[in-house]
Amino acid sequence: MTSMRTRLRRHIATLAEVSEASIDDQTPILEDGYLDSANLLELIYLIEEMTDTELDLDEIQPEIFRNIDTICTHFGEQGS
Amino acid sequence: MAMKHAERHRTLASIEGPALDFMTRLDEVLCSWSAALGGQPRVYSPLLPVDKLHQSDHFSSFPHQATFAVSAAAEADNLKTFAADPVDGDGFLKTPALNPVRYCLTPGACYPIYLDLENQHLDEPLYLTVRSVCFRHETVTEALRRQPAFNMREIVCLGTSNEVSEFLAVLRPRVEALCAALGLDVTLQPATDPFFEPKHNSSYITQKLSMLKLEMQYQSDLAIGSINDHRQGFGTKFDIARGAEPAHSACVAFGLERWLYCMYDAHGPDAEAWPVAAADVSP
Repeated sequence: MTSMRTRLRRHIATLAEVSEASIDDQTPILEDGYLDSANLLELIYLIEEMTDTELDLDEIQPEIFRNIDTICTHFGEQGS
Repeated sequence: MAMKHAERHRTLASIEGPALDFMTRLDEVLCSWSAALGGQPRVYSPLLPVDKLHQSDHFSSFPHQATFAVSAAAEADNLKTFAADPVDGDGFLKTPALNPVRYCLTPGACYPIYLDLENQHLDEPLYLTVRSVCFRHETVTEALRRQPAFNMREIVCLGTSNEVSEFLAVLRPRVEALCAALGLDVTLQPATDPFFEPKHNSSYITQKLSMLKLEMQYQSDLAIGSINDHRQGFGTKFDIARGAEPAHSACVAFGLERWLYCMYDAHGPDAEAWPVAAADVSP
């Protein structure tokens, strides 16, 4: 089973067209501009797929999406 | 008093006398902010070609707010029927057959700027100010607070990321200082536009997560204006370049009727006794 952290890092690196090694769990993915508009939507869909739930609008908050750590803390560590 | 007509009809507000003087003075102050940046005033038609506004994804993001300029189709029978009985007993139009719809009514004062600048390359940052009557479909209307047609003043910048950031850094404290000088309890709050199906709209997600919109919230209840960082959204959609990249853009928008509402609410109906908007509100 691939952990949520690993999948997120892989996904963000692919979308941002950077190496996985350049992103750690504390990399500020919004602040540092890793993801554009379309990529953020892709990230939402990935989290929904991993958690098997539809995100509530209230969960789309900057503090939750600050980095991989904050995403995993909020949505749990489910992997699939 | 200016509100008397508004009370008679919930979509119309007659603004007159000292209240109109206030609104005019407020608008002059906002124009002076643009002028201080080297900004030029422009006037555009409030009609926008639907294909051009579609290019900005407006209809997919805000289909519920769109309004259009329509006209009756020219067939004699259609016009005859319409002319004989145009309005029903509830005050609604008995809609005749219509000509193809070419224009929508602008939902924001700054949209025509981006359409106008399509395919242009900017050699330097561009500062502009525009005022327009803007139109949005509203399910509930209230004079001055929520009108389907209202006056919006916008101060706009197109440039590099740094140029637009500097523009916002200059204007944000001016907005706060103006509100304080007018005795208005206004705070700048992160906000989002009222997107249709927001969770599936990448612009909504970006606006919310990146805090690209700040609303000027009067008593945490009424947005009287907003500060909007579009990033490269319009620059990309309309191929407006600054340097080697799509231009960044931002606008600071003021709903003038709502400012009047706040003044009535904060200071009472005697507009002659209201604080005067002063040009020099630099912090």
